[in-house]
Amino acid sequence: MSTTSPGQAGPPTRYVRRVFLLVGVALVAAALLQRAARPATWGELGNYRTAGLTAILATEPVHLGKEGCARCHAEIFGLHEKDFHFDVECEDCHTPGREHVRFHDRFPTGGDPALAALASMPKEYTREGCLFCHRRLGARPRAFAQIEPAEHYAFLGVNDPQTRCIACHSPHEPIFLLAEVKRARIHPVIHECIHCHDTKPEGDYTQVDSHPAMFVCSDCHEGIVEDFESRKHSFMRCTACHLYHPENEDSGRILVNGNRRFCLLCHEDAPFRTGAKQPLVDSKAHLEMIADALELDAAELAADPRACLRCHLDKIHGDVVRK
Amino acid sequence: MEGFVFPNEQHVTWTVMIVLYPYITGLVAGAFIVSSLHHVFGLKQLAPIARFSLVSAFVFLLFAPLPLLNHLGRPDRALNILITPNFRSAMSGFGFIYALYAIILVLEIWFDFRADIVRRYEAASGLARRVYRVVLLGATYRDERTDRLDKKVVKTLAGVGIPVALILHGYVGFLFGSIKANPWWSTPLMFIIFIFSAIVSGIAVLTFLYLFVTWNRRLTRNQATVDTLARFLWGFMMVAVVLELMEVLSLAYEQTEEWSVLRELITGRLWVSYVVLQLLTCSLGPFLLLSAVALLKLPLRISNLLVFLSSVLLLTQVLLMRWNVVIGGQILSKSYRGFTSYLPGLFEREGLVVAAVIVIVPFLLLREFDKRFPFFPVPAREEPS
Repeated sequence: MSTTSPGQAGPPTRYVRRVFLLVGVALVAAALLQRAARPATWGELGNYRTAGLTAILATEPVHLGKEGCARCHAEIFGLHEKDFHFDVECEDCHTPGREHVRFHDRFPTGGDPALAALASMPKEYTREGCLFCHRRLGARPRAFAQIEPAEHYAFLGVNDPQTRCIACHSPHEPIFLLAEVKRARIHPVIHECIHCHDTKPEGDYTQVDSHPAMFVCSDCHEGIVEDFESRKHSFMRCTACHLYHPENEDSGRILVNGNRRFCLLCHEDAPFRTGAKQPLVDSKAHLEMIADALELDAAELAADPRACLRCHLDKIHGDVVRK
Repeated sequence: MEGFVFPNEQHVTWTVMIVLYPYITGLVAGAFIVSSLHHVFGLKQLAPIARFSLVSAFVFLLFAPLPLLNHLGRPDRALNILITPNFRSAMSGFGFIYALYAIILVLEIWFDFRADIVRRYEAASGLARRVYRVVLLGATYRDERTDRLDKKVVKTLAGVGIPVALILHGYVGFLFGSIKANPWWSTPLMFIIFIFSAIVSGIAVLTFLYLFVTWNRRLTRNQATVDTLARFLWGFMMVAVVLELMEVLSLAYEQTEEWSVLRELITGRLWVSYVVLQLLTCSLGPFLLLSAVALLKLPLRISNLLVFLSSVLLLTQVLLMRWNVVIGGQILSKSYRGFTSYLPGLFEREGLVVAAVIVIVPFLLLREFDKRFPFFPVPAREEPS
């Protein structure tokens, strides 16, 4: 055993004391540092800064609300307000818009491209983004539009599972309503079997003993429903086209969707569709062919949003509706 | 998605990073307990790996917060848990327990390695000598008295460190066990299970490394050390696994309303990871192997091979246990009537590649430490078990 520094070789316990003293000093320093680093008003009212309340109140919100977007994007805003996404804020999909608006207010004609890139807002809509609200979940209200992607694609004959929702639906007018949903007719609440049952039972509730009474379409529209049952689209629910938007426990708004783009959600020919499930058409070519064959004004037919129903209403309803 | 799942449960928030956090802290606590078995309880058979286990505990401790920092959306705010802690939340304890444990480990390593550093100081010159002097805090002398004193301090620190190590990991179990809204987590047994599984993982990682290093470097291994590790591994794994099973058994026996969904969880979503892998493969497997090692007279090569296999299986068992606890508790809907799902991506921020790096880097750091202060400098003479 050697003593490398004889001059320092004092009582051997000295260095132990030194080490623990150092640890003690470090702990005291850490405690003082913690106290110094603590915000001034922290802990006065709770486990937060009292001054933080004022600071938060003074913070300019990063979300503007959809009215902020309407200043410049009036056309898209009009579509958005008309259709079923009217109560979804633009920033839910496009992220907060404060920097975007600031930039364009400051540089109405352009500005630095690097800054413009920073201020640009995302436009891409991934399938997961849509499914965040529209994936079928037991906990969602049944009347809320929700799908199981594989089942939805099988129903529509979509053969590419990677097909994005926006291949058919526009985020701004997802189901191409002709009339504004907020102004649709008030209608008593509609109950459907699948609002309580996982699958539609055979027969109706009147055939089940002690089943609570419920309001169904055929209660008031018996003739129309009977007629519809004999038509090509009878596998669909009435509310597929007569969309029902519940507003409270007793009533909602109901509207008729006769827009040809709504029909084309299922019938437009597209590379990702097999065509095995439903007839597919190239709508542009089809309308030109019809206009030519029936000697109609092609431009007028192309502009008619109800063009499909001119010829194909009988696939849905018969004369009982026309009357 | 399956059954009745609330919309805010679609996203599993605690990812594979939160699986790694209790796994790594378990390795820390377990490795420290092994070193203390020698320092405090005088188990001479573990002397050859006492230092190794101490440094392993320290290296794993350095990396324990890394998965948490990677998981945080704002890691720059991580120190707020120390500056403005909210003691009504169990999570606020982490920083303080971690810091206390780190201090004890650093001190213990310093006193344990002091004599070696003094020797290096004596042999060094120039800048290296000055660095050693700073590391030694000027205490560049040693003799028999100081060596005895160092050992005494190490023993005291190891004694104090045992409850702190148990608290460090028991606290992690407590975090899960105290979440009363989650039937898969909420049990007072949780922190006890975490402590025992931590000890198992600590012994397993040291056994694995000791056998691997001695095999890789063709060193003569101390068979008494291997046998002692194997016995402790056997004993602690039995306690840990029985506790895990008793917890599930008590839930099943009570037949509370939670059991209907937990049964579905176990027999459905967790069937492979929990029943097949964790219990049947990685618990029953090493139990049988270690039982054979303990009860049968096997050739040394076979016996050591079985111990090595058991250590690998038990390291996997504990990782699976962390996965099944952390992920299993989250894929279970709070409605008790549905399940969501989770599978980590490969290259994402909280994905499998990052997870693998976080697990592997401490071993590389151990290797670097070993290069400077060899853990097994002189081949130990083989002793009969």
